Amino acid sequence: MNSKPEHIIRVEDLGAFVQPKEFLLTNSEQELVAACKAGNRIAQKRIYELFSGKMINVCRRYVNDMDQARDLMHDGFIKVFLNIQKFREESSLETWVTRIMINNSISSIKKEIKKGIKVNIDDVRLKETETVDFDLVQKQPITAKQVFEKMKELPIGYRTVLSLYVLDGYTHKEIGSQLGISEGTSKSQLAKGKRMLARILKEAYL
Amino acid sequence: MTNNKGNIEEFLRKRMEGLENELQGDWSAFEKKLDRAIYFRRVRRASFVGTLTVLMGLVYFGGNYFQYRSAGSDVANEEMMPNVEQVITEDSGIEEVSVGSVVTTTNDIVDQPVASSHTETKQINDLPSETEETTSSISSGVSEALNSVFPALASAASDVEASEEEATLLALADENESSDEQQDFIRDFGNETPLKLGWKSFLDNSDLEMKKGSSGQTHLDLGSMSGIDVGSTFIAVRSPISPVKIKKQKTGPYISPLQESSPWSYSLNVYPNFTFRKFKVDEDKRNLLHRDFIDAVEVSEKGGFSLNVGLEISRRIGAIVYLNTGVEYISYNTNARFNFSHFREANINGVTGEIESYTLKGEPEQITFSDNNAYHYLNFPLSISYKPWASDHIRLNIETGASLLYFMSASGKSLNYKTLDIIDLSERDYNKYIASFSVKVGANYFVSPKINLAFEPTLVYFTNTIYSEDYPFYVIPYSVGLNLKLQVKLN
Repeated sequence: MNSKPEHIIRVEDLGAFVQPKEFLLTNSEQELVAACKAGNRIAQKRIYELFSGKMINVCRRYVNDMDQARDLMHDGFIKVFLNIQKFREESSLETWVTRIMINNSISSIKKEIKKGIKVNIDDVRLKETETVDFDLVQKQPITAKQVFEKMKELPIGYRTVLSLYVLDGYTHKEIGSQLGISEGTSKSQLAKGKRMLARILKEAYL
Repeated sequence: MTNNKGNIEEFLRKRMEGLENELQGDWSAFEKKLDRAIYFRRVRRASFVGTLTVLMGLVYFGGNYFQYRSAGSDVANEEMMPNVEQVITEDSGIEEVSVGSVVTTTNDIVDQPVASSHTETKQINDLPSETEETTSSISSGVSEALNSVFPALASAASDVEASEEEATLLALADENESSDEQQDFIRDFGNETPLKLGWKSFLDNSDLEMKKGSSGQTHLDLGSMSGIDVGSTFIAVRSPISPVKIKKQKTGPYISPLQESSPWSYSLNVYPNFTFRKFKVDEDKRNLLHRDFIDAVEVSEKGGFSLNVGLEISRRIGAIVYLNTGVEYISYNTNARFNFSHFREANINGVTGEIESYTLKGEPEQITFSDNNAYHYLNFPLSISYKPWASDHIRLNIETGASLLYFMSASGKSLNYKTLDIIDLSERDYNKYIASFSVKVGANYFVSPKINLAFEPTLVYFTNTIYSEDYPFYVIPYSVGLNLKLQVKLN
């Protein structure tokens, strides 16, 4: 005896399967992706609701303005849905969507990033031997939102490389090819960015 | 020295993990953007398929056209081949020898005097029926015999270009095609041409070795020639002929009977056009725009159709190349639909004009309206077009050119980009003149010499924005048309 899936109504008279407008989604990513590939608007909405909260923060790591970040996120999701056929399920859907968001964000502000990296940041003159005692800082009850806000105070070059390397898992080689800079520059920006963030957090919360 | 590198990285990862924002009520705004993106992707795909179809059609028709043309040129060549007999009969001088002029001898012919002048030869030539009858009776040995007797003929004939000989043979073959006797001639003589078979030099009696046979009749000793009897000491020969190159008429492109005879033509064009606008924000001037304006305009606008009318003046400068100009009335229509919540006012710096911050309104205002926005221009085009005929009724058109547009008026509603107040489009300042480039590839179907229907996909790109003020955004209209044109010739 065939078990009837919840989302299918059998029309006995017609002898055919008719899919109703309301598609009862399961938690399976595969079903969501399959439905999206078929152009199901409800599945698209479900994916948007699942990931938009995280993706807006991904975009906000690279642009300060909330509205600009929202535009970038929307553009990113449009690319996701228009290119969903290319998703090969080799990684999780979230990883794939995140990559698209990052690439989209960086493409839109590439000029600004390059300009920021090239500018000699002398706002904080850190000597090479200067270190920040971070052990105390990390023991403070600092929320994620507070850390996020403080990250936005970093110059765009530091912030971008820090986000890509620490939070998004890019290698220095990938960062270099993404931003059009050398691996050495990427490493240098990362080191300076971490020192600066540590100092900002220490000054704010200690 | 504390090594904080690993600590801060771990710290960041743990803190930022799972950080989420809730974007409430955002799906509807996003859905409109998604719909628009899907719509434009379909337009792009349709344009691509349309262009591919047109190109394939061009390849198909072009192939047929060239095939038609090459087949037609063969016929034309044959048709252009002078009727050799006619040349002889109509022309004042004898220039060619035709099949009919192969010397044959019968008792009747023998009775005729040797031709010593052109007029006399003409008289001899005026015996087509007899000549044709006797032609068929000449055996295959004649050619060899003649060549052996008159070696000059053979060598002279070989000087004539093979193509000319073939052309002659073709013409003669056509002439001879109609009767079995004529077919026999072709079979018998094969590749031998009348030039080889005929006489090239004037022969007088002394060149002929006459022998008297046992019957008392004189015979021309031509070896195995049979069926030829000489009843007198004379053989009717033709007057001197000289080889003439048969010039093949140069064939140009095929011209349909429906093509206008006058190089100038004036016509009335009517065609629908589809337009969409590209809306772009100057990144350096983003702070001059209300954030919600950008969102609202981007999702509100959709391309639209319009009907254009114009007078076209064409001058044919080649066989199928035209220079076109004229004047057209064109309008670019877009559908604007706004539906958004105006919930914050911009605080504008009085000096720089930049928006520094936003203040929430006490009560959000829902702005909902839709309108057809139209921009009216007079268009003065100048283009060059290449219009080969694929058949009598179908003509291809490959056209490129530029045009100058004169702005006449704009109608419809939009938003003020700083305050989001509803404004009339006529309140904005527009460039009086804008220029454009166009490329058109299509096909015309000629219903009659004066009326034709055209399917001409056209891409028009405008070189400057339509607005004159230093707006922080610019609108460059692309006009993409699968133009269906009705053209009525006025002369």
